[in-house]
Amino acid sequence: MKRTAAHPAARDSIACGLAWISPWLIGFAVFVAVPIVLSGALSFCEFDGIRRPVFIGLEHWRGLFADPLVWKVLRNTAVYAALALPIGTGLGVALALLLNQPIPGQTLWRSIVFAPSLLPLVAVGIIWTWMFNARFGLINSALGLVGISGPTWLNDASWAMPSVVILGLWSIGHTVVVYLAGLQDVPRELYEASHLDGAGPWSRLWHVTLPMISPAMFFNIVIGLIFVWQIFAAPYVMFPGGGPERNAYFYTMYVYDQAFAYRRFGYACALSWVQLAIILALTAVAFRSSRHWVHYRGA
Amino acid sequence: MFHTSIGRVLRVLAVSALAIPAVGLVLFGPRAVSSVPADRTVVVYWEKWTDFEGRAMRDLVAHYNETEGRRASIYVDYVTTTGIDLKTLIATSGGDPPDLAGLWQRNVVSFAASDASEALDDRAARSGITRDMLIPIFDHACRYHGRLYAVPVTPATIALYYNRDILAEFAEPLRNAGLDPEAAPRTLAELDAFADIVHRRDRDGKLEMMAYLPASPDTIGWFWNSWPIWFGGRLFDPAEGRFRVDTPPFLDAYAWVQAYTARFGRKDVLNFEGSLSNYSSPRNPFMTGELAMMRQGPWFANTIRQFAPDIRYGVAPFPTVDGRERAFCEQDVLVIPRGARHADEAWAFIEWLYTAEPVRVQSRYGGAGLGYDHCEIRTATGVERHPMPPLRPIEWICWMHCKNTPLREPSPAFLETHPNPAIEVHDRLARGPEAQIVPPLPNWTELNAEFGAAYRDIWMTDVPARKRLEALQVRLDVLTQQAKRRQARYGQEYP
Amino acid sequence: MRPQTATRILYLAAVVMVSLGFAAPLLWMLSTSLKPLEDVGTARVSLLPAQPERTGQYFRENYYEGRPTFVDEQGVERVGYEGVWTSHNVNFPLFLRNTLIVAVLSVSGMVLSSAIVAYGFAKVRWRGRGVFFAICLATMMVPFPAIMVPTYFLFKWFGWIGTLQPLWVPAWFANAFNVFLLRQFYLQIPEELSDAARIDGLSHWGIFWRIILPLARPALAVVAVFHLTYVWNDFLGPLVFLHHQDNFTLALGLQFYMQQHGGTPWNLLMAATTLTVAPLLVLFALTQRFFLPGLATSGLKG
Repeated sequence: MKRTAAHPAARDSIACGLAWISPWLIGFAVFVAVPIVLSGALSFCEFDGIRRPVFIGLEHWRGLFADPLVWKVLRNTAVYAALALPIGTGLGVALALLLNQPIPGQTLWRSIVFAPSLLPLVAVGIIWTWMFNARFGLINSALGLVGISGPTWLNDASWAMPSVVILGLWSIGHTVVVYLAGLQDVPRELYEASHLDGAGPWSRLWHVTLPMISPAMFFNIVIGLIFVWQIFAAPYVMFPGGGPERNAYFYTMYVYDQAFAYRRFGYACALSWVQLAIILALTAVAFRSSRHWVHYRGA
Repeated sequence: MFHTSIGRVLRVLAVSALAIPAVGLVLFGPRAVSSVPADRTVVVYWEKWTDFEGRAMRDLVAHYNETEGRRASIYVDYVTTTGIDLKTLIATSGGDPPDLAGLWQRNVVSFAASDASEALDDRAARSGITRDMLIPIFDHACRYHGRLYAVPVTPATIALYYNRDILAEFAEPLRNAGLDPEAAPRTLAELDAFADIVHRRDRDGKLEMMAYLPASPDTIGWFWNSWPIWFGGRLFDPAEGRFRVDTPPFLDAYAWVQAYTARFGRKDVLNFEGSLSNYSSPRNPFMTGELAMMRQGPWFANTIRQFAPDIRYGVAPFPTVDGRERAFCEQDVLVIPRGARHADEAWAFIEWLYTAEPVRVQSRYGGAGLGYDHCEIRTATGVERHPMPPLRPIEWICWMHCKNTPLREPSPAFLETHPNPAIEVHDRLARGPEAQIVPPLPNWTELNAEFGAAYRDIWMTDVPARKRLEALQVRLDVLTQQAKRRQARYGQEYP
Repeated sequence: MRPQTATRILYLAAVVMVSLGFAAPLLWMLSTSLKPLEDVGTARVSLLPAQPERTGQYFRENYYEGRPTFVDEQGVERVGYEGVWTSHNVNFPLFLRNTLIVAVLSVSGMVLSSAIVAYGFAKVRWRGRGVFFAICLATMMVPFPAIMVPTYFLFKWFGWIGTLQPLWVPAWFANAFNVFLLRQFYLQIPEELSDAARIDGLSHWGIFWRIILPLARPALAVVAVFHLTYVWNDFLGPLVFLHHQDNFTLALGLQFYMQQHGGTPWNLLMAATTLTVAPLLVLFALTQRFFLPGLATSGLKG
């Protein structure tokens, strides 16, 4: 078996391993496994939250494929993921590099970039509903200063998705902090060595910095994958009903509506398991690919 | 600055400055003060209201606790709850519901069909709260399959609010067109005529004021899909058992809505709409003068008084296709969830609301303002202050929330001193023969979402209204079939 | 190897612009919280209230004292309201206290348990580790609507509904996000250190406690900050699991400022939001140095 940092040959006993992860294991068994199994069972039942569940077999699963809204929200979520993840990663790395430079007021700038992710999501939704206001919002006012007439962000079917992407980018403070922490760890000697080798700044970036923070990138990408598919709170506040032509209607919003607005818990559970399967598949791909580009220095 | 040792000391000091008050707060801070007396039966009352609405109800409950509650050894514990329909459902499901829950109209049938609320007919009969006591539409709204599952607590009707000052600006052209700038339009044709005249564009040709906007921002959710009512139709015909959105009232209604964008230019109108604040914000377009007319409920008078008291406005029934008065009604209700431990005592409170002698309530939870000690009456000479008259509890709470009364025979004091000077219009609409509410269907929320999507498409895109409505009909039929199947599994009928 | 002055100026300019973009909505939030109710309702869009000299007074009113109903210079009756800190409807100090309790209990439990579990996934070499880690990650992929109701019933069965326990007890059993984060960090620590320690006779626990944990302090600080943010702003948990207002947390209390009919008092809502966020922001600014050492690298000499 190929030995890497993540896949070393086993040396310790399974009992030892399980003992170490026992806090999580116990919590999983008690707090997570039971609800998850229940939700799996519910996906084969009709349940409105109050009357006893009625077994209906595969009806939800069949209905899922025939539901036009499912395809709509899947498409929206996939588009959002395809936009938000690469842009967010690029922007996050770029910001981290920028905030790592020796410039005055570093603490201040970092705090400002991190601050938005400290806000309660409800407040975020409200603030951005105002920011995107077509006439008085800050965004269009700023665009107006450079002579661009901004679109009606929240009411235009083509601009609903970009506005959600922009909103998501505002909260990348978390990823930037992780990158910054990773950047601290890059040994100075590597920079000096590459400088001596005559490497320019771009080469240094590509051959030293990025590989050294690849564990942080891997973390952020996997976390990003998992959570970008579950985007919910802010668009829910900004786009009641899913927005123009339902272009801002995302998968978890639909699951939430089915579960709590329409009280079709069984169907919501079936939808959730489909989402779980999709995310699982994508994450597996990410993990498989990680052997090729993630370098753990502990190896 | 943070590098030096002085910087370190400063940082330690700063962190302590945060940590010490935090510890102090945890150790010595406010505790939950339970003021529930031990010797009385406690009725747990979950309610959604916050701010002044919540305060008013809290004060009423406190009044009850000190008078009738003391006598009957009941204590009503008012608990502000967010997401109340969801929480009540989950709590009922878990066997631990509140004794009384303040839900929305749209929850009544949904809860009743799921057997999540108690039927109240027997109790109502014993307390003398008969059908005759309530205005028919509000009573009808609380029933499912004929049985009573809720009690109205603050009902409302929707009417047209129009800005007299703006109309006065356009008095000349309006009169030339044969319209009266001092009165609201009575038919939809007149409304269109008003709209053609009353609007303003700014220097860049962008709309900055319009007479009316069929899609006022954020009316989404409760009365966006009520258009067919004003075209003489019914939202849902129980006799047919299904929707017929491809019939004339719907077709005409949505074609009319779409014609609005066509007349002014779709992009212009959407840009204008996109720049308006939502209706529940202090920058409501009616109050900022961006819209001359708007559909609203009676509570609007309160909001106008708060944020834009200088506006001279009038209230009239919303124009209809033939000039007849029609109304769309809404209400908040009280429900006793199934499994409530103190259902009898909960009902005792409801009974007090409806049958007690008129009361004068003290303000305990908020600054005294309009309604606790004084009311304002508009006379020919201006606004006069009068002491607040005593009102029956149910009317008192409706007064404080600035909404309609559910009573067939309201007290004269209610209508005379009501904070909305045009309450008679709202009241008249509720009593009319053409008053309607949302269809009493268990899956209305889901259907409403489809209506909303269709409405948005018709308003914002150039898809022909008829085509979109046909697609809506197909979808509604699918959902209706699903609902029928679901109900059949529990041996129940749909609708 | 410090960049040239010209480059530094360029970087500074870029950072200022970026920060402006991030800060603008926050500035709007702050400026709204310093306006009286009437200003929030006007069509004017500006940073300062209509009467800027009264900003201090508005600050006191919105955040602390509130103001009574009064009649202004034009003879218009302006409705009164309570300040955020002293509001009777929304007991801010009580909510803050509850949030503090939950935060302290939750964060301490999370840091401790995640540190331990991550070691098991990173430094202990055992068969099946990959499978269990995959399951661990998968727990993050289940959308909350699916498990919210079953979780509610579970806590109900424990008798925890109506207490603060559902909010912090599960944190003592680690969670996938923080375990993953710490695992990534631990994997960066060279095996040679553990090998040397093992030769010296230390067990896994000894290695964990004496070698790994001290090195992992910055990462643990990141976990603490992230989890603190999450717990502080968590809205869905308190919404579902807390019934009585006396137990409510800040995030839930913010909901109370949202109105049903008529104007949401945006100035009060923004003031409440600012008060909610301020402790976190200050804490982050102050403790940043601890996990982002900045100029000096803490790189492990390999």
